[in-house]
Amino acid sequence: MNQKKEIREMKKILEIENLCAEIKDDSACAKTILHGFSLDIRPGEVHAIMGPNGSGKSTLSHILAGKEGYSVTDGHVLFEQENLLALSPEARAARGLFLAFQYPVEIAGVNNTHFLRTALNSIRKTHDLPPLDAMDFLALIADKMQQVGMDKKFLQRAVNEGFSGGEKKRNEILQMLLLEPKLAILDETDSGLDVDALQTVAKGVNSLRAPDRSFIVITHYQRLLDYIVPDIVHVMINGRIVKTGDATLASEVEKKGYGWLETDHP
Amino acid sequence: MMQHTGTLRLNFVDGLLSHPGFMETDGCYCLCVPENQSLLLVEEHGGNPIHHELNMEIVLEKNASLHLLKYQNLQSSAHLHATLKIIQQEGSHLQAGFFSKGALEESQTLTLHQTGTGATSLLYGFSGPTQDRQCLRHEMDIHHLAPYGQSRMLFRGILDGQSKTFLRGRVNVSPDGKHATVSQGSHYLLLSDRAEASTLPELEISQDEIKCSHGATIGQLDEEALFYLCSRGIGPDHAEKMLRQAFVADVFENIPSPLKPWLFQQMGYDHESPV
Repeated sequence: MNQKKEIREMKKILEIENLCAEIKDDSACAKTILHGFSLDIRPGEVHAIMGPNGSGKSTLSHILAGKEGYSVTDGHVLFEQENLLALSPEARAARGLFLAFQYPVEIAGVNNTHFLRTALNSIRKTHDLPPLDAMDFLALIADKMQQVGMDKKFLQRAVNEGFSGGEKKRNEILQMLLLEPKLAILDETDSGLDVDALQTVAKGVNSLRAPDRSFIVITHYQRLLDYIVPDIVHVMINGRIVKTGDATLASEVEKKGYGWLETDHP
Repeated sequence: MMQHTGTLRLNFVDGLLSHPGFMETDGCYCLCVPENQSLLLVEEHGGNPIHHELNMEIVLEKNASLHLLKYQNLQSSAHLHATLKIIQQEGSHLQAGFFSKGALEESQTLTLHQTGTGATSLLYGFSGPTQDRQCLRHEMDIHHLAPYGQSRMLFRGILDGQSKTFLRGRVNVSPDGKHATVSQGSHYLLLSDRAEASTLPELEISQDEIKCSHGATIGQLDEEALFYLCSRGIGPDHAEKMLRQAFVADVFENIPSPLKPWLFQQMGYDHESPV
C-alpha cells in the first residue's frame, strides 16, 4: 500500500503545498494574495482553475514562472521533485515550465524570429543539444505557425509589437508549441479571443496534449473548457482552492456564478 | 575649400590627423561635396589627446549627398571639442551619425543651414554605454532657411556610473522655411541611479505651414520585457543584451551598410541578421 502511494507521489510533476504569498511592498502593509494554496498535478493531466477577479489566479501563475515582486511567506512548490521557487525564471523554462502570459509583453526592436530562435536554442543548450541553424529553425517554425494560423509576416515583426489581442495570444501558443514544455500554464489565454481564434488556440493546445505533458488552464469562462476539456476543475477564491471537481464543475460555475462557493467557504 | 567625392576617412590619433591629402586652413578643415556628387566621410578619433579641438566646415552643393560618420573611442581622460558647420544647397541630402564611446569630456556642436529648397538632413547618434564620470555634450542647431526642407534628429544613449549626457536640439524655421518637416527624438537608458541624461528640444518657428514633432524619454531597462525573455529560457545577461540592442536598433540601421560590421563591433553590439 505504502509502495503504491510512493509511486503515485513520485509521479507528480507539480506539487504545491500550502503556498502563502504576498505582493512585495516597502511599506508595512504588504498585501497577502495566496492563503495556503495547494495543488498536485500529474503528467498528462489538464487542470482548469476558475475564480472571480482578484482571487489570486494570475499571482499564482507569476510566482510559478518566477516573476519578481512577490514574497512567499509559507509553503513550498516542487517541480519534478525540485524546489521550483529556488530556480531562476530561465532555469524553470529550461526544466520545462511555460507560462502563456495574460498580457504578452511588446518588445520593440527585438525581431520575433530572433527571439523565438534564441529561446529555443537557449533551452536546447541546457539539454546539451546543438543549436538549430537558420534553415532548420525556419522549417520548424513554419510548421508551428501553420498550426496556430499565423501568417509568416509575424516572424519579421518585433515581438508582439502592434499585434492585436488575438495575435498576441496566438504568438504565446506558438512559443508553447515550439518549446514543448512539460507543464504549460495558460493564464486567461481565452480573453480577447473571438470564436475562431479560440478554436485555433485550443487546437494548438490539444495537439500538445500527451501522457508526459500537463496543463494549468486559468480562465473565467467555461467556453475555453468546451474546447480544451480538463480532467480536473478547481475553483479558487481568496487565494486558495475552495472546490475541486470534474469538467461538470465548470458548467455549474457558469450557471450559478461564484456566490454559492463563497458562502460555503467564507 | 577642397572638393571630395567617394569615400574619405579621417583618422585622428591623439588629436593629429593621419591623412596626407587633407589640409587644415586657418585652424579649420573645409571641404565641399560638388553638385550631384556624393561622399562618405568617416571621422574617427582615438588615443588620448589632453585637449583636441576640431573645427570643420562642409558645403553640400546642389543635389550633392553626404553621409558623415563621426566615431570617437578616446581614452578615459581625453577631451574632445568639435564644431561643425554645414551648408546645404538645393536638393542636397545629409546624413550625419555621431557615435561616442570614450573620452572624459566630449562636446560636439553642429550648426546646419539649409539654404536651398528641398534639402534633407538626418542627424542620428548613439552614446555609450558611458561610464564613471564621463560627460558628453551634443548641441545641434538646425536652420530651415528655404522651403520644403526636412530635418530629422534621432539620438539614443545608455548611461552608467556617474556619467552625464546633454543634448540640445534647436530647430529654427525662418519665414522662408515654408512646408518644412521637422522631427526630433531622443531616448536614454539609465543603468545607474547616479547617471544623468538631459535632453532639451527647442523649436523656434516663424512659419505656420510646417509639420513638426518631437519626443524624448529617459528610463531604465523594461523589467517586464526582461522577465518575458527570461521566462522563455533566455539567460538574464543575454536578455539584457537583446534589449540594449533593440534600444539602439533604429539608430544603428542608419549606418552605411559597408561600415555596419565595423561600427557594431566598435560599439560592442552584434552585427548579425536575426536569422
